[in-house]
Amino acid sequence: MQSGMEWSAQLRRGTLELCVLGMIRHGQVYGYELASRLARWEALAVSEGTLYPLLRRLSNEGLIEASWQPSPAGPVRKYYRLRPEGEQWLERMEAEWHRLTDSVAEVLGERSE
Amino acid sequence: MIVETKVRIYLQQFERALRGLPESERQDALREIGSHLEDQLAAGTDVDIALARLGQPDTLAKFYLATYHLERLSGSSRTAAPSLPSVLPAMAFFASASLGGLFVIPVLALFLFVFSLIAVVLPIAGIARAFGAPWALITGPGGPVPIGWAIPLTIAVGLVSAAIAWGCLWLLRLYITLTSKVYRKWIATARPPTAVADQAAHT
Repeated sequence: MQSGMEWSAQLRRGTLELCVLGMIRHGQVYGYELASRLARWEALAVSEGTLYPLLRRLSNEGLIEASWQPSPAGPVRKYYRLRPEGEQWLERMEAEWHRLTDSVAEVLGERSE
Repeated sequence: MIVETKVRIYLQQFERALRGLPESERQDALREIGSHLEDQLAAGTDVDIALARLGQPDTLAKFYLATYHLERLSGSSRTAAPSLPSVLPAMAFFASASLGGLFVIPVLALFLFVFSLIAVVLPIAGIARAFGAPWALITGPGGPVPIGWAIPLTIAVGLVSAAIAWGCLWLLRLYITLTSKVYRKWIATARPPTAVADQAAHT
């Protein structure tokens, strides 16, 4: 049954990027905020050791940008913001995601008429 | 006090393990993880749980290093010929990262070096021979090569060596790309180590 684990790991890998970008979409956020928000959903929880390198990669790819800023609470934090390229990418991914999940739901009979 | 010491030790180990990353990226990663821990502790999380969530400092650093090297490799893959400066640091990292790499990468690198050397040195020797340099005596299967044959023969062998060297470089890149795929998967699928422990703590 090792392949079942493998399958869900793959699934999560594909969706994590989408979720992270989706959470950055509504304004700038910092790493800890992202980590604790993701942790609310057990299915989405990732190791923080995964999240930070992912953020690094997304900013290297030019989808998001980061800047160090003082936070309202005091300490300086690294804030992430979506770039126009990231926004386009996110829209495409989102459309793809809905198309896929709708189709899968139909195939599995959840929406049979 | 103990909390601060634990965090400091963690960050020191993390910084040490990040060697190989450019200094600015290293400091940035260090600062970000530091501020993450600050936030986590301010939210009332126990320091041991906060550190466990980040994983071992060496593992966390490996995620950063792998991400960095994968980035550089994929950045250079658009060009047809693999460029050596982009491959070398990645080579060192992936050679140290897996047992197979420990053998395959140095052997290929050695071949690459030897055949590159032959490709450069041999035609030079051939030209020297053609102009009568006594040290450049080239011996073929049937005794010394005649002076008139020196240049075409050495250039031909030089070209073959260059082709082999290029092939080694290509294989190296292929090997690193394949290894890095495994890494990519590993990076993307790590689960929080304390997810289960947390659930237990909440109940």
